[in-house]
Amino acid sequence: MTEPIQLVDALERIEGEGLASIEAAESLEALEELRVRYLGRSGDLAGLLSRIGQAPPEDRRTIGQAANTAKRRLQEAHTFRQAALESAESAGVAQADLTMPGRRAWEGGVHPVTRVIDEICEIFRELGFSKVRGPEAETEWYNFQALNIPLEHPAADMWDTFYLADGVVLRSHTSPVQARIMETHEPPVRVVVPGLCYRRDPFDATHAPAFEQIEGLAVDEGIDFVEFRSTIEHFVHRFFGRETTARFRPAYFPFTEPSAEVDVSCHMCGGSGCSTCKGTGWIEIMGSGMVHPAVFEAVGYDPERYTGYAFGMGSARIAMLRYGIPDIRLFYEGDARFLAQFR
Amino acid sequence: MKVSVNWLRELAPGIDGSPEDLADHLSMTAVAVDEVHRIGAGIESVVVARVEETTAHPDADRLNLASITVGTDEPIGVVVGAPVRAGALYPHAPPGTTLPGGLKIGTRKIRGQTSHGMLCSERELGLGWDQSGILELPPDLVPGEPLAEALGFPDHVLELDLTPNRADLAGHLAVARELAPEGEAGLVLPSFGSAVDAWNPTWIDGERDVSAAGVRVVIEDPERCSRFLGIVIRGVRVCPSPAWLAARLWALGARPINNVVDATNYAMHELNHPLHAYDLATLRGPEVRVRAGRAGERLRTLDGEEHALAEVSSVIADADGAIGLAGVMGGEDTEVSSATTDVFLECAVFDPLRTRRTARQAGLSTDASYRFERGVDRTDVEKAITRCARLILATAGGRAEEQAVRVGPLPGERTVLELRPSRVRQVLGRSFDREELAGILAPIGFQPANGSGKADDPPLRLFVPGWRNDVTREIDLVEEVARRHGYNRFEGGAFAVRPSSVPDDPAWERAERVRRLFVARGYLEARSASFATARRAGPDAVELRNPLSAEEARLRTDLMASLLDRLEYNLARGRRDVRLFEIGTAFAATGDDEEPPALPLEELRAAFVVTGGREPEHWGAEAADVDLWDLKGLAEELAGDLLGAGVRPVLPDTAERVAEAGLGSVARWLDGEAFELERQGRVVGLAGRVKNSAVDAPRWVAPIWGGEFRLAAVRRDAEAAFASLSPYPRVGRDLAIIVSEKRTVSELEEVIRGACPPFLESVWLFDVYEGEEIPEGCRSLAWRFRFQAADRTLTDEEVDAAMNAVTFALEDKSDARIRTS
Ligand SMILES: [Zn+2]
Repeated sequence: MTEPIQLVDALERIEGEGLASIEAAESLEALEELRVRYLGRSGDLAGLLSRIGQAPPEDRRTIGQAANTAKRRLQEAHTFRQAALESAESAGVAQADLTMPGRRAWEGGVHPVTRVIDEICEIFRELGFSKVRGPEAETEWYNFQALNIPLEHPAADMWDTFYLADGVVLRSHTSPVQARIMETHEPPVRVVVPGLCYRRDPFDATHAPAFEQIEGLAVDEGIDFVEFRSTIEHFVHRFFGRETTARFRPAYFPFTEPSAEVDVSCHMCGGSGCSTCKGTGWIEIMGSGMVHPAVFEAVGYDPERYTGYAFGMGSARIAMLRYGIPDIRLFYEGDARFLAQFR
Repeated sequence: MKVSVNWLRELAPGIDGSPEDLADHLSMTAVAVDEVHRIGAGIESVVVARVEETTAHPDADRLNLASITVGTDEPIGVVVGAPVRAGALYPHAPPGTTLPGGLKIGTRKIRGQTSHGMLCSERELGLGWDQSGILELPPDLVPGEPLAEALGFPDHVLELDLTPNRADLAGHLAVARELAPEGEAGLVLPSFGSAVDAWNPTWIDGERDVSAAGVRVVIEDPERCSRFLGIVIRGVRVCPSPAWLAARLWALGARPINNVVDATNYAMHELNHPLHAYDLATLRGPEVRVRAGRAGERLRTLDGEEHALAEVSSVIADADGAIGLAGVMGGEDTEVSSATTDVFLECAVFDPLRTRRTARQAGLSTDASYRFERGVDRTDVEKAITRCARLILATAGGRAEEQAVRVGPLPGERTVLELRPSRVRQVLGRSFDREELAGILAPIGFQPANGSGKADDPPLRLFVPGWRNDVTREIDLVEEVARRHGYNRFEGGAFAVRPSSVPDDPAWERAERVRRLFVARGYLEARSASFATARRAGPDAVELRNPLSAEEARLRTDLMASLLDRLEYNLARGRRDVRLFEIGTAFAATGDDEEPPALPLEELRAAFVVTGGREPEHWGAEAADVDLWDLKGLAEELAGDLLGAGVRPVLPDTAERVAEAGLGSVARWLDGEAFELERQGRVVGLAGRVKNSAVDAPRWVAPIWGGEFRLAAVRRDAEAAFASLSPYPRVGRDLAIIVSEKRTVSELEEVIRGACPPFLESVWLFDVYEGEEIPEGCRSLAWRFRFQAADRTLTDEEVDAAMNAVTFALEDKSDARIRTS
């Protein structure tokens, strides 16, 4: 008897052909045609099964099982292919073009000045500095006299100050917070104070009437100029990199003595002189110095017992240096094209 | 402040090194040098020429022809564009010269006349800014001499960035002292000639009122002027200064005027004492007094400006009225001119504060006021005026009256300060022994004084030199030690970690939480100056007394004011999708008329604005704009995650509560579709749709949404709490009801939660349907329930009972009907 063998062969052939063509179907229409051809009521498989009665009874069971397996496999292949084609179709193309852009969400960004403030504060936090703040509208007393700055004196001209009322100013530096902190806390004091300051400088490429500054203050027994210098040097190395050097120059601030201006070697030219450093090889980054005894006296600290240092730097200016931003106004215009560069 | 390197080298011959080296040395030990200029460079081929005769140009009204000689008899013809005098000397740039400004000189025909080179102005030579005329040269030059050489050029000028404490460095002698290796010991004052160098006056002293040499000097108000010295010189010949003197002034960018005036300027730049010379013949009395200005009094100063005087001003007056602004500028009527024969020379010490007020009142800032405001040396006025008088005698001739006026108390004992080596060590962290300290300080004028301190830590006793009136206490000496030793030599020592008694301000952590949330949701952080225009500032805005402009005349009362400006900036640049947030300070006036005035209220806030697409446009999805439910979702996140607050629609009666929370000025930006963020009965923030009228926006703009909340309401990280996770299975149920439209979801959910047992894990609205099958005035709402107990597996019966209770409650309290389908 050759009939059963022929039936099984035919089954295998139908299954093989069917699976291959279903997997290769290019469209839902083509797939439907294949379904009708192989799995339909008058399809190949049905036709074959109709002939099962011709087989010997002892073989019918085997043939029937094989036919069911073939049918199941074809159905699975059809379902799988149909899903694939449908999803491709719903996505708008017959077949996915994987070079097409994916679905995105809006991306936010942290302001470059914030990034610089955070980085600076973090470096000082590691050295035990806490992060505090103070009012932006300040009394003349805290802005000037408490810091040993006499009013009506050329020294006070160093800060061109906005007035809100008699005796009330917009702070022209973050230094008033020094006095406020020392009045309310006993040494040891170590704080950094980020915040906005105000000066009567109209907006131009390097000036803003309101700009961010970071103040630092450390007071304790036994803090000396050597420690101050090495702390600032440590900061410079951490923030600007090991290859950057710091130098200290005499300066004048009424609330520090000795006072120092701190320069760092120019990262653009490495010190040989360029337009960034105006040919000097150095870039000024902060005013600083040992806290003046008169400031300690004003807040009730014993200047014979305690010493300390203070510093102040323009965070916006440092952000300009870090990111090579040529115009300070970019920070405050809120242009999304600018802000989106800092993610 | 400019100083000439040639001059410094003359005052301290020991000064060595290039101008750049000197600049560097000054910057590192005393005062920053901003720039080093070269003076007299590029004029090497310019020679001194004498104009022999001039004639008018035949074909041009404004031009003249000059015949000049340059040391030989051979005349050279030049065409000049400004008047020149026959017999006078002028700089001649021969053909082939390239002047400092880049101008190339040749032989040119000008309107038919040949000009062999040209005669130059001050500006063309790089000696100053005047280009109005040809520079007339000092008469003592010799025709044919190379000009630069004759003037002692090239020279270098250091531009000092003087700090208020070191105004003494406005004088060359003080700068030379800083630079000279031997310091004070290495200084020499150049001689003006042995005859005049030997001249000394005899001082006629008085406290307030002295007459001598035919002049009376009165200090009416010693508060304004503590010393006033005067010398009379008769029979001077006022004429242009000699070349060496003119060259000193040119180098500093000052213009030589005449030998008498130039002598006062020279002495000022050398010894840092402003001096003034009066034409004695014009002084009525002759008398000079220092007094307060009088209302109604007027004075025309040397610069030709007329000033109305006030009592705040200090004036110099003669017997009839004001003739000068004391310490600031002399008057026009009494100035020295070519007609002057007798001169009254003044050198005084005017009070810093009074001088400052006088200068401010007049709107002037001069070389003199700069120095007096910062304080001059009270102890060496005699030296300065004598030196100036000698220079006048040397250049203008005449005879000085032997008797000279000296009014005001003489300088007392020199100030002595003590410096403890232990204090130096404490502040600087390095030990200096007494000899080292003395060796550092003596060269800059701090000479040892007698006397000794305590035995165990004997301090150095040091005289403070008169020119260092900024040095008043020990710490000032410590700074002198540090800078003269060199700041960068205090090396070694480790940076220290030390404790701080000050806790962190929680505002920074709160700000960081807010920043994280907005950045994660696709917002860009903006920062604004805190000013607001009248349109943006709220009614309680704090006004600035001295604003830079009307745009920046008020402080913002809310941050949305700033963000709406930022939004407009972006919209104006064609950007439709804008998502911004800001964390900053809002200000409000206290409204109190307190004395002294209270600080305005200020509060840290966070705010956001958003408009445009919900997501970036994508080919696979239809673009949708941020809508009310996006805004509400954000408000819910802010409230839930950050503030621990609830969100509810702004009701008509909440205006008062909003105002009470200080958010009234935020509310004015929002229209009716707004929500309040509420915590424990207090409004802490607002969010909603921004009114069309609030933003100057193009027509294509999408709806704009925004909000603002108080930073102090933000919870801190530590306030997050852990709830244990149940290991038992979770059971889900859905429930749909048909209910009157008048029932709000929040009130229905209140009923649902009230009816549920504690094992309700969560419930949320997942479907809303109105339309077919739903009766008029009603809607269908469907919730999904999740039940989970912490301590056991829930049975079907328990959950069914819970759902029955919910159903019953909704039917009973809300007239809802269960929807089955
Ligand atoms: Zn550089």
